[in-house]
Amino acid sequence: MSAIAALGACKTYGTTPVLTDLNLRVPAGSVTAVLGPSGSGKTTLLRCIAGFERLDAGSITIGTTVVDDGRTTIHAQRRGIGYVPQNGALFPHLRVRANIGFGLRRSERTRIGELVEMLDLQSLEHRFPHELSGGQQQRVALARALAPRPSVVLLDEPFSSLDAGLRASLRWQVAQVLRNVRTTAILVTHDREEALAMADQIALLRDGRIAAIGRPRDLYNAPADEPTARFLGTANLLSAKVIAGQLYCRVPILQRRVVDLPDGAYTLMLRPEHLAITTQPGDNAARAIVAAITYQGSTSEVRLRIDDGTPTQLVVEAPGHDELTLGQRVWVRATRLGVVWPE
Amino acid sequence: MNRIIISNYRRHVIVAGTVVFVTLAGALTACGKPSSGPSNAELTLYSAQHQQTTNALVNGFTKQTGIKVNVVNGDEDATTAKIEQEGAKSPADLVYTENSPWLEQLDQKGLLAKVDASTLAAVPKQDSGASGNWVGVSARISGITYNTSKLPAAQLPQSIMDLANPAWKNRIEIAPAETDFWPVVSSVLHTYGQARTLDWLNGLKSNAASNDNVPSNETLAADISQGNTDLGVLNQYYYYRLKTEVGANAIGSQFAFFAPHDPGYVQDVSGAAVLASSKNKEAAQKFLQFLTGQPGQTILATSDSFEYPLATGVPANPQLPPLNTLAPNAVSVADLGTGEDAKALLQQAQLL
Amino acid sequence: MNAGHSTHSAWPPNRIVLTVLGGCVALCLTAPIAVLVVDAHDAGWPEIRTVLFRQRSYDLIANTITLTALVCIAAALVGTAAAWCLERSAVPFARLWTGVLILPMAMPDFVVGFAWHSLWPTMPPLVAAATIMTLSTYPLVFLPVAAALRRCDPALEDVARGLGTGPMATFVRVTLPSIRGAIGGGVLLAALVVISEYGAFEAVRFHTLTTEIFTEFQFEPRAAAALSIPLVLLGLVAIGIDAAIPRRQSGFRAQARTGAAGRPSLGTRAVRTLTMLAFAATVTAGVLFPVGVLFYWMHQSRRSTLPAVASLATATETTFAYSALSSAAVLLLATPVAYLSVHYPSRISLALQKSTFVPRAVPGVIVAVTLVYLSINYLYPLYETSWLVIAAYAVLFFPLGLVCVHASVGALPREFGEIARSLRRGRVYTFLAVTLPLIGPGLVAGFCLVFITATTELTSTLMLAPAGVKTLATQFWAFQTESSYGAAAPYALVIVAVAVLPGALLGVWFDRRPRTSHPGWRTGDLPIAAPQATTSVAAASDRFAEPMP
Repeated sequence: MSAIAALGACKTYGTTPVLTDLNLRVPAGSVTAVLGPSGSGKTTLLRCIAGFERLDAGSITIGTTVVDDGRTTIHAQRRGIGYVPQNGALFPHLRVRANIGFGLRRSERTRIGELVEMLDLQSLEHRFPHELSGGQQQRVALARALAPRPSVVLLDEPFSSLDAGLRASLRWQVAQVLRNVRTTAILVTHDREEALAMADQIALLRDGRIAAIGRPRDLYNAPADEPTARFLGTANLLSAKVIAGQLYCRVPILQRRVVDLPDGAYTLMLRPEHLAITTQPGDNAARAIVAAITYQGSTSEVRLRIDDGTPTQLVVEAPGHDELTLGQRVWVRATRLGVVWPE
Repeated sequence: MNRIIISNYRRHVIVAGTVVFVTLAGALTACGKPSSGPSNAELTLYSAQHQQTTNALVNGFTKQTGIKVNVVNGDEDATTAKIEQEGAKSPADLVYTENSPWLEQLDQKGLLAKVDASTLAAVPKQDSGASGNWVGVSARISGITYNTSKLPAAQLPQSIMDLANPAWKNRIEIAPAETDFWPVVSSVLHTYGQARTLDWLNGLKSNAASNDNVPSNETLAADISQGNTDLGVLNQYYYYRLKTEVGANAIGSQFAFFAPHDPGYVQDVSGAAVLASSKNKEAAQKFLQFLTGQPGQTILATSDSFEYPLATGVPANPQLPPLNTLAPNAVSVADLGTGEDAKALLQQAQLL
Repeated sequence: MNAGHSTHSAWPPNRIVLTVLGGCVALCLTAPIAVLVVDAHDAGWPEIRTVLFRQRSYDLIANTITLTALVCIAAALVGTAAAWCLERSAVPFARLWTGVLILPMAMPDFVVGFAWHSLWPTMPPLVAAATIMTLSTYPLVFLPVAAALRRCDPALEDVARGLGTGPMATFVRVTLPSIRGAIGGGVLLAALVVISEYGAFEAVRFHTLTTEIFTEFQFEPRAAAALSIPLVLLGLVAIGIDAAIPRRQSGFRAQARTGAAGRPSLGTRAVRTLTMLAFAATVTAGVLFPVGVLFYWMHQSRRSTLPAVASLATATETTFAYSALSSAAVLLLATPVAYLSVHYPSRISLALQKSTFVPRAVPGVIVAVTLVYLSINYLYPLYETSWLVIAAYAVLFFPLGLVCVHASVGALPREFGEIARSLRRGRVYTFLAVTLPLIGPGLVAGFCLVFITATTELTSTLMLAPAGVKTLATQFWAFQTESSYGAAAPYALVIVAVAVLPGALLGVWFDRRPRTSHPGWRTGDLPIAAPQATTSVAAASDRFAEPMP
């Protein structure tokens, strides 16, 4: 396992800059998810690290070796990376065993058995790729990438072509495998749930650079700015003021003592699960009307319209067994302090 | 399994390699060898004569002298063009054409070597080139080949000029691209002048309608025999050769001459020459001698060629009317020239 | 959108190397055209003017254009109808029909011409010529259209029908736009074949510019060259029309229906029977009838006064050798051009590719003549050798091979090479273990296609074959010009036999089921997909389109 570092990476296609001065550090042995909207350059970054593309400027280091410094590069063959593309790209004319063993020398063929074991492919060894389901193909693709014991594994949206139920279980399985083999992994995805579930570190890619990086928990609960917050989940934004060490929210759902913030105007960000709905009025509860309910099984996503003459809306996560009706008058309050940003 | 991959890979290499190797090996051995210069015991003959004629003669020559002859067949206009294009680099030693104009053309371009005097003496003087650079070997006469059931002998046209009359509309086919026809045109031109000849050609074109460019004389002969058309203008031997092939019972046509001295009644000469570029002139002259000597002429007379041997004292095939009973138009080899005039007129009439 | 990746350490090789190689190939192939122009120039303007600008020439050009238009329309109709019936209705024995329906392409045109003419000498020449050429060229449309229909999702048509569109309207508004490009590509090749055809037209007495060239060539080669120029222009027009057909971008398509989905079952039993009868009728007219006539001639067994110059075995061997070597040469030459167009599409690569199509419009005899000129003046050791024949075949049939190689190289996803590299495998191993097995079938198909066409090539062989070397085609021709049909027939029958096996291989290969559901990889397509997919850079790189979140 090796750490990966990209410093000042720049890549332009024609006249369009795709990566601009991108800095990313991936600790050895960890799983980093690179999250971003489509067109943000995630795949390009991955391909540059893999060695299929060349940087225009900047450098990429794997372990202690500089594999690309904008002038000279090391060929993809010698970088010791495993690549799992979006659709598996299994060689259609080879069986599963042959696919997995493609990168192995004759002396290493026992490894195929290990990988078959690891990814639960026992009954599928002698099949051809077109005889496998999507999920099975992705597992074989991962096995193939892991076979030559790479120091780095790169996964390009590996689950995007699978259906939701399969995605969840495969996600868990793959995360386990990656942890067990202890390679450094970079997972590129646009699915935030995937990133939150699998990664030790999430890097948000926006406009060609890393806009935010950190642990999933930290990025989710304490994002540094609004776009980051929105990308990782639903965010409720409210104006707030700090006066003499007390935080007051314009919508009277929260009032806290905050010692380390100077007086001034702020924006308060609250996640849906940081709010609660009650049918009784109380301290620090604002009046609201239920505008929409999306039942999700264990929870419901409830959209409330604050009853104060402004068109403010809040999204609240309520327990699924709460029975609310449209147009019902309720009270809403914050149960936790989210994040506060200065204006 | 690695073994599968490796063996797949090896298998591909072996199979692909074998296929490629076998194909190339087989192909290369089957290909004709590049032409090296012929040894002293070999001649190269560019022949535009029918293969029936040439083969018989060549075999006879080789049997007598032991000299091997490589024959390259082609139409006489293509062969002439080829020799002209090859020029001094030509690998050919001899040329043998069906009609005289092409030899005259080659002679004018200085591509022929002088023929031995003894060879020239074997055939009548007017049947060889005036410059002595080519020698006549056999004669052919143009006439009418007609379908006997569609055209009774009494209705045969007396003159070739009749064929331009509207009475013959859709009853004739012509093959103007066949160079046998060009001496006929030259003969008409020599007799009547340009204007009338052009009119006559236009008349023929309109009478032949869509069959104004039959691909070959053999096809024309077959068409006449089958009754696809009433008649055509052909040299005498086509009828006889077809009769030999299909048998006297199956042939539906017959051959007849035009009226004596009619412009359509043309005797032309098939001749041969040694090329100036030949590196084997001695052996080549031997070939010409063979062609015009008794052995060669006898082969001509007795083979399926059905042409008239020119050497004095050699009788023609008994099926043919003897040469001395014939009365062709008085147009000589010299008059026929290089055939350029005929070609130009045919082009003007848009038959070519 | 990533347009035009530039990869270093490349498989595929460097752009510059490929461009140079491709340029060399295109140059060699179009050299005959250049010689043509030079020759025409040498012939002098007066001669050209006499020959070219006169009524007969106009009539002939009109004939050529009329026939080409007729045949293009007819071949498009027959080919598309056959492909549609095969792909969209559950006709039994589909594999058999595929192999059989392309056999008419293997019949030598001049043989078919003589067969028809010998039985119906009074048929109007235009009708006879059109029928013969349609039968001979519809497979060129059938194959790519069937491949395109296979790629098309039938769900689109189902949706349209569900919205109340009738079957005809569905075809015109939904299916046709997707297969337009395939039809166009096939029709282009058909048009070029018709423009350059000689033997069949001679047989049925249909005069076109090409038959005129052959006649003119015999005594005025330079004027013949001048006459070829309208042919080249016609060829360029055909290429231009084909390029102008708007082709639907492949875009992002839904997952292919694989496995048991196969062919939907449309139509009743009566319809299926009718379809099979129609197929049978086409094959009878195209193959069984001429073969029957050949047997009839043999049975007549008339004695020929012409001596047998070459035995059947020698002629077969020579034909086989010439065809095999030229097919291999074409594949070799086509590879850099195909790789260039697929991986580095640009205006230059497109121009290179299209320029190699032009010699197809020129009759074989003219290509032969130009090669004679070149070899006499610059490459004398090659004069009168078999290599010239092979060169002529390669020049003439290059487009057929290119289309196949191009399609199979184009169908190979780029990712395979990259993944192989990431798995520590070098260029050579990747090529042998991944690329070759996957494009191999396409290459074989290309080989077969060129092979079939080369065995029936006549006029350039007549011109260029060394002394004493005969092929099946030239032997047949020699006998039939002497009207010795009985002696000619065996040679024609052997041509058909030699061509049938590759033809069947072509059909069987074409009918394979796709082996993977990887959306980027489409096996089971016959590689005669017209080179439409890379006429735009965007289409070539859409494989890397990031899907909608």
